[in-house]
Amino acid sequence: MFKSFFRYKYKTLLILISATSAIASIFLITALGNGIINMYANMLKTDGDIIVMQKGVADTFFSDVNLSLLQPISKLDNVASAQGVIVGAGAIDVVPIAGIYGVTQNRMPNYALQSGRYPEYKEVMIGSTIASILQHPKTITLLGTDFNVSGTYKSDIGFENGGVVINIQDAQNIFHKSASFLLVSLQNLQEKNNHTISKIKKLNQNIEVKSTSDFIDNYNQFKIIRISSGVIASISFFMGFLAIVSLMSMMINDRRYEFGIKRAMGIPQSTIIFHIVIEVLALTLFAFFVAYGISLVLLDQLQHIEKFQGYLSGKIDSLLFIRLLIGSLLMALIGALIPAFIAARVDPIILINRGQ
Amino acid sequence: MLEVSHISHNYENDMVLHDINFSIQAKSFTVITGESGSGKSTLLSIISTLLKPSKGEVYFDGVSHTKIPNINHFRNQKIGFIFQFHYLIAHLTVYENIAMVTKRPKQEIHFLLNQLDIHDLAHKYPDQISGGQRQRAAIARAMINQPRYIFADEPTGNLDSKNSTIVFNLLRKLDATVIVVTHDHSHLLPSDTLITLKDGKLC
Repeated sequence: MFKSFFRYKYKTLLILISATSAIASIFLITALGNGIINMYANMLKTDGDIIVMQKGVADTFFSDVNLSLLQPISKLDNVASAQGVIVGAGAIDVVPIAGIYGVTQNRMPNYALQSGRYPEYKEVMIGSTIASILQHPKTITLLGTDFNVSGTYKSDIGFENGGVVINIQDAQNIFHKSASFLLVSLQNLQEKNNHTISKIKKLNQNIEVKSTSDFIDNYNQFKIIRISSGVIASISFFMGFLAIVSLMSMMINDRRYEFGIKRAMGIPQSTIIFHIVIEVLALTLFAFFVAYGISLVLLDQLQHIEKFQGYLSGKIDSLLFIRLLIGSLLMALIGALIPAFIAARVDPIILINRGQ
Repeated sequence: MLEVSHISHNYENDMVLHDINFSIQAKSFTVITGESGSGKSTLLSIISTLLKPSKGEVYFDGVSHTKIPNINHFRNQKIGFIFQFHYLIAHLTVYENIAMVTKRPKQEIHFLLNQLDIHDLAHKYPDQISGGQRQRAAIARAMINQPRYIFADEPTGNLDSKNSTIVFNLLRKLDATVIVVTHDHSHLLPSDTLITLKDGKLC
């Protein structure tokens, strides 16, 4: 049944390349988009069920919330711990821009030490990626201020490895704010979230309090990433679709002669179309798994490219896998079946004569 | 018996067949001839159900072509086609080209290939054999289901005189109603019926 692939080997190869490129690009774009969102979401979720930000400010970079709120929040029922974080970015020695995380001491253990110790006053702990880029320096300059390197850390959240961690007090001096946000972790029981959230809200009128999952779902930057990656993936899907539809149409049109002969010999249209479906599914499945393999390799490589400081970290989850598998098979089937159905309605002798 | 009744056909505004009527006895050998463009290939395509006529009907043993319940099964079991350019499928071997159209056992296919003296070529592809051998493979494909009607459109159009004679001798021996379109006058006789077309009309 698959001998036709070898007969039309250049077209088969073209279809394989187009389908593989389209599918791989959708995998990569979606996985990377989701990866960035997930990394940030994981950072917030690591030690926080609730996030406290400045009221009316949607972006953590611009939020300024009073760090002194940590104390009353810690004393509330059901609160296990409360941490303060300043998120900023700036030049670090030769690196033009990198993440600078100012954190309270109780958040430090979130960063697994690779060497040295956690930073104290005027000290900095550097991520494994940036340590490698800067060749394990002893001192670094953050936005014009010198810091001694106390150690290096490795985080499961890829992009944190491309940044540095300092005490929140040092970060306050650099960024001139109290805290970007506070993260509150609860002892247990999801249903007590709302109760705790309303209690925190009462502590200060200038704060916005949300569960971290609510925050992640509604965070503007995540929405932008989701929409952008969705739009790019859709364009990529559409381009791939057009390429596959055109190539499949060309291939089926090239085979009108063969279909004409088969129909002249009394082979039913349904059998001819069934063979096309099987061929197209086999071809697309092959392209899909090649694309999947390529995407896995590329995603793994991108994660380790120092230049990207761990920001390009994506994973292909089962939902993306299944959605894309179904989408790919559908686009290939539509591409093949439309010309096949048209051909099935034409008199055999016309197919044979046109196909010569 | 095969009866052609008031067949006319046009390609858009170009009338190629005008009210053709004739009948052919079962198991006879009929030749349709005429100059190039006379409409003989179109007529054969219509008689063999490969092309719907603009007007008229073809009756196979009294049944109109429009009333045949399963045209695919009819074509497969009752009709065999031989075309000028053999029309073997290029990516299938000689054996596969024949096996594609039948459910008959392998032995029957090999027996037929043997009869046509192309058994050794069973696993060769069409582009690996000569024109005469391809046409014999096409004849084998047309014969494998032992059809009642065999239609051949210029079956020797691409063959030399020696191979043409072999092919015509094979066609004359078939136990079926055979209708051949040819413009090769050296093979018109012997035939049971000779139909000549000129400008889409019977002469």
